[in-house]
Amino acid sequence: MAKKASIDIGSEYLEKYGFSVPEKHTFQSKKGLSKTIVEEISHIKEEPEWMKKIRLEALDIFFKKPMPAWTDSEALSRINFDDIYYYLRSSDKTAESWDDVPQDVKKTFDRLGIPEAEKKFLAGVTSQFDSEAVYHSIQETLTKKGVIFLDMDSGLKQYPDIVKQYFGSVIPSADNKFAALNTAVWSGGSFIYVPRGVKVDLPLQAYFRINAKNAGQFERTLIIADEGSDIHYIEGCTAPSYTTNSLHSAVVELIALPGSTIRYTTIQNWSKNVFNLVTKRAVAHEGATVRWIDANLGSGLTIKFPCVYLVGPKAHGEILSVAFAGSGQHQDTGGKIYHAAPDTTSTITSKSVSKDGGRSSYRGLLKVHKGAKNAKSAVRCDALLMDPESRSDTYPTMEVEERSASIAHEATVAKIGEEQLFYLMSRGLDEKAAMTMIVNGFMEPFIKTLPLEYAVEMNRLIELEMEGAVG
Amino acid sequence: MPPVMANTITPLKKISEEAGDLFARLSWPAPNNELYKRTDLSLLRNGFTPEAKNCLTERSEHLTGLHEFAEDHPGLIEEKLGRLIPAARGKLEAMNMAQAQDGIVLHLPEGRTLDTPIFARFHCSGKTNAAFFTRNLILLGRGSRATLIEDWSGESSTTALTVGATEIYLEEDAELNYVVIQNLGDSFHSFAYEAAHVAAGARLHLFHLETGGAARRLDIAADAAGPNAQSRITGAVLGHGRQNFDTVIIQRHQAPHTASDMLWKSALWGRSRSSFYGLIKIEQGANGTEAYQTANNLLLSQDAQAIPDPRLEILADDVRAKHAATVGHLDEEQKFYLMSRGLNERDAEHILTAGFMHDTAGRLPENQARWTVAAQLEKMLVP
Repeated sequence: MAKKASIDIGSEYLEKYGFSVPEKHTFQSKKGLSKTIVEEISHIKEEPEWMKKIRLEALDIFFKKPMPAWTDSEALSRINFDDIYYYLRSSDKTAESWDDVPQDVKKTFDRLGIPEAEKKFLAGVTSQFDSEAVYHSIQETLTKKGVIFLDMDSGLKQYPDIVKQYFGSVIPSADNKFAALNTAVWSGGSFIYVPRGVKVDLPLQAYFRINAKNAGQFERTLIIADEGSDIHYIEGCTAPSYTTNSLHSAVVELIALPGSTIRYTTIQNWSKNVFNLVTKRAVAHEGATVRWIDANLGSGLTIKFPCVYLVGPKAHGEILSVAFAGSGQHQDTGGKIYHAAPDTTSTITSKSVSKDGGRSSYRGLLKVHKGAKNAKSAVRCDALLMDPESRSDTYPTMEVEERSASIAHEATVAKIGEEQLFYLMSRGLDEKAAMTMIVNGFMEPFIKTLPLEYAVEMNRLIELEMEGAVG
Repeated sequence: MPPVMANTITPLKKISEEAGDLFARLSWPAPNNELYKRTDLSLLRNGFTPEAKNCLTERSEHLTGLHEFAEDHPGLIEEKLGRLIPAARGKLEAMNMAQAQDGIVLHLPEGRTLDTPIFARFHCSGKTNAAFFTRNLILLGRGSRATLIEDWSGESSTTALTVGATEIYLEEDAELNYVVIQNLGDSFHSFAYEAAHVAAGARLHLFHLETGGAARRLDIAADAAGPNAQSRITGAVLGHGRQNFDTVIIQRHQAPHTASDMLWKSALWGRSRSSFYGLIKIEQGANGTEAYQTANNLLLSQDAQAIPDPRLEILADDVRAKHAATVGHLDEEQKFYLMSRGLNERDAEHILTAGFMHDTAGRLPENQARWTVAAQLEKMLVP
């Protein structure tokens, strides 16, 4: 076979699916992190005193906590916290309609197809450009139903009591170094409250973008699904490629009250110079269901383990995580489930593809606490290796303290079977098309959960990633 | 071979002394040490007194004592001892090498086949806070074959310690079935380190039946070092009372077309606990490798606990690697079926547990090794 030509997504990003617009900010903090910067952010946002206190306490924790040692320490050591802007604002107000969105921002979103997507199936849009929401619309029907869908800053202003009750209740500042960082400097993100019994039929969506060199993005998302409600939230990320490192460190907290369902879908496709260090956690009360659907295609290093705490009887958690690691990428992803109540059930499915020397790691934790009688969980991890330079790791951890629990974990690592390739090629496909088809089939459990347009985009992304897979 | 001069230091003594120095310098494994995070080392601070006599009570012909072998083969000791389990690896390994009272050596020349299994029995009994240190060495020459059954028992009125280490070298096309039946008394804290270097075309089957001791830490590392090397590792763990079994198994593949297959089963009663850390590591270039690892745990009481932690690190692409782990309990419907046919609950549970364990012994060759293990298993499972 001829030597395989590798593809450098980083360098070809612009022509493939990248873009950037000239930076234009109405406010930009100084580089670096300090008490003054944090106080400045809080002051500019006109926040209540209690939020400023939370921020400052978190900053203290961030400085004290060491860097995590269990992951790619070498890559993490390249983050220069003093070389990052912790706050940028690209427009002074949140737009109520598309016409109010600044031209340059609009141009960026046009490339993402937001207006098109909105017309077709979206219930609302919160688009974050750098550190704040700049565009926001909610369908009248949702407003009538009492659904709150705001950017997090507006959420804090308009519903301080709800935010105060739930903010940091699932992910406290002291949880980990990057959760502390986010709590100290958070800006933007989504705030959603779905009232009791309300079912939001269409997915709510937010795009996040990094568009400034050394811009840190620290969005904070809080979703509360009241009893018996149902919501699907989609978050998609793409970013132009820059040579200096950017840091994306988000915190997402989901609260699924009894009988509710939350589905949270992410397609992460940051450019390779972005560190994507995210803490996502949900609490599922009695009879509630939380589904994390998480795709990681971009970034140089992603560390992300969506988590569900099953705290009420018959609560159910699902994590479906897919990763595509190309040249120079390490996708350190997986999931965590805690069974802390009887008759709780969970599944974790992880799929990864490593190519051109990329590395995918699955890291998981499944814990069944004493008293979580009849807990059932199944974990499955499948990995595809596309070439001899790539690497795949699986680090699942299971802690079972309950006799009546049934736990199963299975993981496989393999390459694309020669027979599969031969079969497809004997039916007229060339090698690249055959390989792409197999990888798409491998990713199918994830793709089939997506709305149609996302599924189309996802297939296209996989096609792009697969270019150069055969020489 | 030149005669050993009276005033020269023998290789064994030199290795032992160097290990003593290392032991003094090394720290105990830190709490955040990945491989020791579930091992309780606090008891080691109590202080133990190494017993003057070792606990090797019986050995078949073909087996030599370590000291005796070292006198006859200083060159081999220098070349092999401490290479697979170096004292520098950790404080416990250094302690074992420094204190080793004795152990067995199985040394078979090229092409030698032992048709019947050979035995070694270790029975540990000592004074207050007795400690036993054994060091075994297994050297199988090209194409040689053997089955070794090692049996461990012991009693002590006070807390006792055993630290054992076994290094296994299989040259090209050699084959070893190595069975360890561990049934130490309730007061024993036991550490065992085993490491194997499996050369091209060689086959290792390592079998452990683990039923004894208050706390048992078992480390196994099997390196498939040459093309077509194969290792098979099987474990049957029966835990009662407050026993704690902590097992670490590493299957490393360093050459193409190698295979490894591990099955580790635990049945746990009372408040016993079994934690299992397993790693399949396939190095770059080890193409055509197949590696499997399965850890099944059966919880038979409310307070038993199982912690499986299987891992994969795969750096070659043309491989098949798979691991699986389960934690579960007896199927109530199966139990009901048996009880509806006249069995009482205890007997029904016994039959189902025996069924769960059955395929472990079945992985051994059909010879005395399998029968010995099956008989022991049956005895241990009697309700």
